[in-house]
Amino acid sequence: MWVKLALKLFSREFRRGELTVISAAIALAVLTVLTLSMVTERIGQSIAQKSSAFIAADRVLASDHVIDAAFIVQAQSQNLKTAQMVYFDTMLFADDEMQFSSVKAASNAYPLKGQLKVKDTLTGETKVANNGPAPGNVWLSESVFYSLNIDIGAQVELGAALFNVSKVIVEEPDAPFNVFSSSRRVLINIYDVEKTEVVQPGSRVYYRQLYAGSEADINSFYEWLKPQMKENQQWYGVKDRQSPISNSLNRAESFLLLAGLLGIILAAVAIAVSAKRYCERQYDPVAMMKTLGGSRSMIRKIYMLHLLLVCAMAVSIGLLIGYGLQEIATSYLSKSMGTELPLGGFKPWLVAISTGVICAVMFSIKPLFDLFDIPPLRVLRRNLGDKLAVSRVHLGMSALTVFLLMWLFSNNIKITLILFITTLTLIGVLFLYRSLFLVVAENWV
Amino acid sequence: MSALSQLNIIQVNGLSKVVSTFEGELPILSDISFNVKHGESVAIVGTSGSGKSTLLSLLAGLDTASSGEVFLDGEPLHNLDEEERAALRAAKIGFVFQSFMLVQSLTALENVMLPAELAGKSDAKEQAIALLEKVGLSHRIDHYPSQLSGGEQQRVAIARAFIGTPKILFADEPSANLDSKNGKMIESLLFDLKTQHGTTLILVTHDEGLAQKCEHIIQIEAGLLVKSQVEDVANVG
Repeated sequence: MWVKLALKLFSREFRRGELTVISAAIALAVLTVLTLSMVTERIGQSIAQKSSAFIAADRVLASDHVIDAAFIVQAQSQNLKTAQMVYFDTMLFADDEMQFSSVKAASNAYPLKGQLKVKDTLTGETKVANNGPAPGNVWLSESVFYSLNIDIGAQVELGAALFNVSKVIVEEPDAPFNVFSSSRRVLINIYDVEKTEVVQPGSRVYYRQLYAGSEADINSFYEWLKPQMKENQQWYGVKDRQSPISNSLNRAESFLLLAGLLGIILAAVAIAVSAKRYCERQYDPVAMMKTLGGSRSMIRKIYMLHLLLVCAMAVSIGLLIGYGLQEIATSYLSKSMGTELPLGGFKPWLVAISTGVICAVMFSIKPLFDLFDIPPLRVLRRNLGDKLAVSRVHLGMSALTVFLLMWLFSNNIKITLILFITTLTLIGVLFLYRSLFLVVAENWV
Repeated sequence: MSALSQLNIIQVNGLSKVVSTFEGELPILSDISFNVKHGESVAIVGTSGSGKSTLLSLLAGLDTASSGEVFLDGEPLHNLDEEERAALRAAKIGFVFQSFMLVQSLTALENVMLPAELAGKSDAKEQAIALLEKVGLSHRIDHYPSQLSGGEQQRVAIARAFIGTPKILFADEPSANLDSKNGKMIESLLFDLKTQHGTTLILVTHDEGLAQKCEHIIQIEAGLLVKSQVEDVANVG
């Protein structure tokens, strides 16, 4: 019987506003977390699946200084396949059109792992290229063709050199390096770098030596290489925690989740304020229901069912919208990266659902407990229970929840403390301004 | 239980209420004793702050006394916990308040059905409709309190009070918030329904005229029972 009454009260209260605000806020928190964590999870899984193909080798030696060519000779003598690459950014010219592009100059053996996919024409079929472009040729990503308004066979200027545009780049195995930067990519042969005269002292240039072979040979080579490595040189495989991809992804995930945290904190504030207002509005009905014989346990069941319904509804809507948004984001990223992203696992779903439930429970449980404590005598003494309205426990629990969410998303106690203290300071300053404003306004009047 | 106590639906013995304030203990009610028989109507009168609403809250089990005893239809209210008092109210008591106290998110019909639903009764709808007809609101059953006038809201509250055919009805200034025409209508409805259902009526009021309509009057001043036309414990003894 109480369920019927609870559902009736819920449906009426839902139309009146506060429950809608609470639901929308929980849904916002859930969809933010699901979208961000699922996008990063799917990129991460894609990287894990493609593993060595994502760095086009088994191991990479990277530096922003020229790397000793003797390393290549030694690696080849230890049965390793090798390739070299140089990265730099420069302007590309075609007649009057120009485009700032990311240039990759690769040796003939590139890529050692993974597939380099190209097209002979803009509308042609995709095929696998066993090597990079021959000297004098340049391969461009599709977007560069459109921005320079050119087609296959055109001539483009890159620094002091002229190149023949011979292929369209569809997919590079190590392209995800550029997920969050330019998608306008240019591939030339490493022997052409010198004639472009782009690389000058002080230029921002990145050098890579790629190695592939058996794990034993690679380890043996690394034993030889390690004592000779300079401080500016970095040795990594894709699975290494220190690898730039892994680092970038972790940083990107933390950054995105922290950015999303702002939305979650705003949602949390909305939940806390609306839950308090909703519960305050229920003081009279609860006092009346208790007066008419409703037991405390029945009142508790009615309002806990309301919380459960709000939670279930809001989390479901949040998951639905969040899933849709991450599909849109990942489809855009798939095109940008030139690779299909695998489906995400259960973790983003669990994190999103937990965030929704934590927000719903932690920000509303204290006002709800206050509501259960409303005495029936309020029907005669109308201000009874009003002292419950300002609750330090509610504020404390809300602050603790925000702190825990910050910690959960940043996974870094230092960042959490900085963010938390900054937020508290900001709130303090706002309160100070408000107090000053009220004092000034009072004196003015 | 004696035959006499079976006749008395309310027995009050030495009832006192003291509250703590910053200045110390403040007595609200002191040593109140009286009995009320089944089906009687009793007005509790007194000046503002005299303690009459406190007395009503103690008699209805909405609050607990500092000392003394209250028996309601033979049940020792002073010995019951919060849940037991709620169950007793559900079974035997109806209420009408000055500020109507309708649940704003429920329609008139749903408000009238509320006590029955809280008591777990599923057949309340027909009884609620019949009661709304009796109070002249059969055409307003689907209206929300905000869509009703003050007089109509109080008529809904009266219908709600009688839904479980309560043995005792407590009314706190039932016509105080209404104009005189609506006030008279409410008073007459209250007494008509009381008579029809054989309910005992305990009424808190400032209104001398309304008090005179009751069979007995209890006057409270500064927490003391100064005049009682109800059989008090001393007389019974």
